[in-house]
Amino acid sequence: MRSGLLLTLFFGFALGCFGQECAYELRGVVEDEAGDELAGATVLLREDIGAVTSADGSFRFEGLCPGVYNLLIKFVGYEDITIPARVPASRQVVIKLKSSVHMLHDIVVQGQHSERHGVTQSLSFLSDEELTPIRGKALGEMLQEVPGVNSIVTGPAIFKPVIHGLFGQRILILNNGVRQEGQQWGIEHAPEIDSYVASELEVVKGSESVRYGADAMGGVILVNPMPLHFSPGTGGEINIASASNNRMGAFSGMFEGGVPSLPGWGWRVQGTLKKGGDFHTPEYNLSNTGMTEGNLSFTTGFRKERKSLEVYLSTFNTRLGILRAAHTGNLNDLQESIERERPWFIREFSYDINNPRQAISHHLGKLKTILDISPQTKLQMQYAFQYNQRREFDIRRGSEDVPSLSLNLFSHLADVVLDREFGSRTESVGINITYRDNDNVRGSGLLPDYAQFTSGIFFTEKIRRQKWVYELGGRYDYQQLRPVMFDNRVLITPAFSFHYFSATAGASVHPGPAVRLSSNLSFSSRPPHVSELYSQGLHHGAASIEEGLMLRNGEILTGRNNINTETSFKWVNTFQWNTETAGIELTAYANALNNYVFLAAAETRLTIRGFFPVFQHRQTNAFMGGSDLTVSYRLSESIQYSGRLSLLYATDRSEGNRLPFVPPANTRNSVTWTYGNAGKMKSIFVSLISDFTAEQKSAPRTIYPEELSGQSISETFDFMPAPSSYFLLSLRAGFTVPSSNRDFNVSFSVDNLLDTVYRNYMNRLRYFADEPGRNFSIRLRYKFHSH
Amino acid sequence: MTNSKTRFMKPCSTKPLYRVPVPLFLSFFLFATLLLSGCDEDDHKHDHEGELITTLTLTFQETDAGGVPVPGAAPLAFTWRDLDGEGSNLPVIQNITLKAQSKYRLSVTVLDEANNEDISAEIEAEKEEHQFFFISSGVNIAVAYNDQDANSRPVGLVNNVTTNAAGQGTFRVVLRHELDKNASGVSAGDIANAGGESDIDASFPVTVSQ
Repeated sequence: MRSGLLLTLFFGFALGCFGQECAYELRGVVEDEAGDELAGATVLLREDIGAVTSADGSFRFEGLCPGVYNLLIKFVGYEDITIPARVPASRQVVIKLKSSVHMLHDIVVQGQHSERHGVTQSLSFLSDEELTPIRGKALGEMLQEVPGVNSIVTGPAIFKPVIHGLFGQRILILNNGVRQEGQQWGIEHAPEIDSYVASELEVVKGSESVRYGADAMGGVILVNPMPLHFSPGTGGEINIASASNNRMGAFSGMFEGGVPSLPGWGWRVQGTLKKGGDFHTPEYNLSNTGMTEGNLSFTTGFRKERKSLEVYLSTFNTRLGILRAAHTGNLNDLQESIERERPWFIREFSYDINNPRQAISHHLGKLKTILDISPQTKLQMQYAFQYNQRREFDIRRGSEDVPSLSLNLFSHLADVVLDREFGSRTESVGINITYRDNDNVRGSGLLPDYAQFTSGIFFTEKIRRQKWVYELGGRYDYQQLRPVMFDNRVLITPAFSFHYFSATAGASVHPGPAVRLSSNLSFSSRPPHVSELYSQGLHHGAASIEEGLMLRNGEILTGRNNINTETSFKWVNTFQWNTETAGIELTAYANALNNYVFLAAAETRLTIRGFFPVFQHRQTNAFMGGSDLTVSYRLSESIQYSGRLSLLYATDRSEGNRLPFVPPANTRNSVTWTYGNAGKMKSIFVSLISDFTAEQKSAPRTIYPEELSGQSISETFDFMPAPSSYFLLSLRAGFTVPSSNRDFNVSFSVDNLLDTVYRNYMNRLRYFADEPGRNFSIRLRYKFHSH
Repeated sequence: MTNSKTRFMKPCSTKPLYRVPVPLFLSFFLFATLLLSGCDEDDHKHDHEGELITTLTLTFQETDAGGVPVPGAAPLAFTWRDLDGEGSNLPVIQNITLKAQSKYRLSVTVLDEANNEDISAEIEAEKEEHQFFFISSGVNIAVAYNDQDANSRPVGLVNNVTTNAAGQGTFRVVLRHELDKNASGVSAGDIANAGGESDIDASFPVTVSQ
């Protein structure tokens, strides 16, 4: 409403009053907690009389009768506030609004926990509510709900996150604030995290290298559990899930409480057990794709006035079967597999996990303390250790229990961060130190023994000015890497030092209550990982030999001059617009990568099994650019539509190679009906979701295995054309039965409702078999608490 | 899912030592790491790589029509050898030379010479899961199996070979592991429906002369 219109209304009101007595004025200004004026806030004098604050945050009502008015002030992103104002008033009313952490139609992200990551980045958030219908799935599979995030898949159970085209050592996963240190370089290594631990998932789709170091070059996935309860009383949650395709059952329980004799202390115990058998496609079983998982975690800590402490211990253990039919001896076997309609190894359904299989254990311990040194200053100190044991078992003669790969990785991580707030400025300064010790027990050539020490120092700055937020940051890292290897029985112990830095600058603006724009420019650097430098071996599932970039002509190089630090220069822009009925979010990004490490086809080599292509890690200059669009529209009171579209273009700028594993364009469209209540059942919903994945037209050219024999290959290639596009339909439904201190939630879902036969371009095992068929699953969740 | 040739053997004494100054409290934790990860005394002996095959030897012993070795005819051994496995050193392949219109007993030996392992003994121990296939092209060499596993299916470690007209061509030997010996044609030596994985697929140049 315009003030002019308002005056007219009040003129009319005034006429009804007694003469001069109702000609009083009420002025005021609306500000946020930092003291910056808020334009566009709604100030309601009465239900039907209101004003909108102008550019300087001010508002004015005229022609008022004396009395006390209850002003109701509302503004997107802030908590509503009611303030009594007396008329006549001698001076203007100053109203301060507190920001709220609400999600609006799941699109506008209010920068939750914004000290953990930048607010000018492209961010996505999966709340507890959004995770409920997909709980029990592997972490990587759950992350596919986020626009811009895909997975590289190995068979039906192993998902490796890909953010805007980047994966592996370029994606950092923070597990309850601790950087996950596993063998994430491996394309068939999924993150070793219990997905039930997460009460929410945040994804930063851009470089957070400044805050976290080199591994955050492509993005960060934050797995956040619920904060501990520090008040007395106990609570907990039991989750049960079951799925039909692989006859999987999962059980996860959590209990937490305070300690009556120790006020301010809290504890939590949580555990998960999962077991699944072979998956099946619409036409046959995928033999040897079973899995088991057993996890346990324990948290305790206290929160006092000016300090808090948290201790967290967890263990994650899993065994995964790898599709038996995907294990090939040589190119001939691969050619046969490609030509066959059905995989050569199909057996009856079984829960047995035989070779080839993976067995992984991941143990983590964390100690964290936060001290409020002053009202504006907070000091966080954290120490964590992790022990990751990975064993991979192959098909072999003799004992089945001798692993072909056995790696033990021990990591120590120490972080010290100082956060300070000066009014509208927030500043962080910190140091991160990491020490990793990798032991290759069997001596197989995939990854040498190594010790790696990294230390980094960073600063970030966030400035709020009226509707703008500016961000700036810089980081310097020093890394020392010492691999230990044998070259023809001669011990070599090169030592490499790396100095590299990262920087970020960004701005975001709220020009109006419903619009937000942000832009971020980041420069990050990453020295190649030791696996990219020195790996050596034949990958049975890929029927190819892979070699590190330090292996040339059979020689192992040790000179530092052969290694170039990979750099990324990424520009990401996000536009968000939200109203009561519709919302839109558009992200567009461009990423110039120099010295980008990738696998290039080098030659074909003759071995006793026949010819194999040799892929070498090389460094080239690449470019990745794309956009993610998310739209939601409320069609009626109870029906909402939402859709998203992701496009990615990636290329090797230097040599024109087509890069492998670039996710094809995909779009998801869904319609959700929400029914209010039916007896005890509340929040009933039914969603129909359709996913369309296009054919990857920019896939590397095809050279069939039988066409490769002793010829020279210089261009990246693929053994088989990319699969055709496909369309999948799923259904999700659920309801809640709440009560005073208990909550019962049920959700059903059917994935691949139409039992479509298809192959996924991002699945490394697509040469051998189709994707799983229809899957019915049900999830029950029971929450209870006495506080 | 990997197989490799180079081994990053880890002797005890080469734990890297850091000269980078590290604060005291971190030193404690580094010390703890060293204690916990320890020093593995066993690393020098590699148990049973199992997957590395470096050498395939075909031994041809000339026989008469009844399969009795011809006295005075020494066995001819031809080797296909690649000592570094998947490494870049080229394999050394011998040229098989046989007489035309003759009969031979063919024995197959498989070794891992890098680790002194006798792979044929392992194949022998798991006969039911292995079968050799012999495919010649360019020259007609007939191979008939002369051994059996527990299910009366052939293995291919011992065979009867008959050469025909003179000529030059290729003699290809394929070892399949975990194949389907009951599939059509497999027991007769036809690889088409065998399935399983090829652990060996080595081709020799062959000359059959008068």
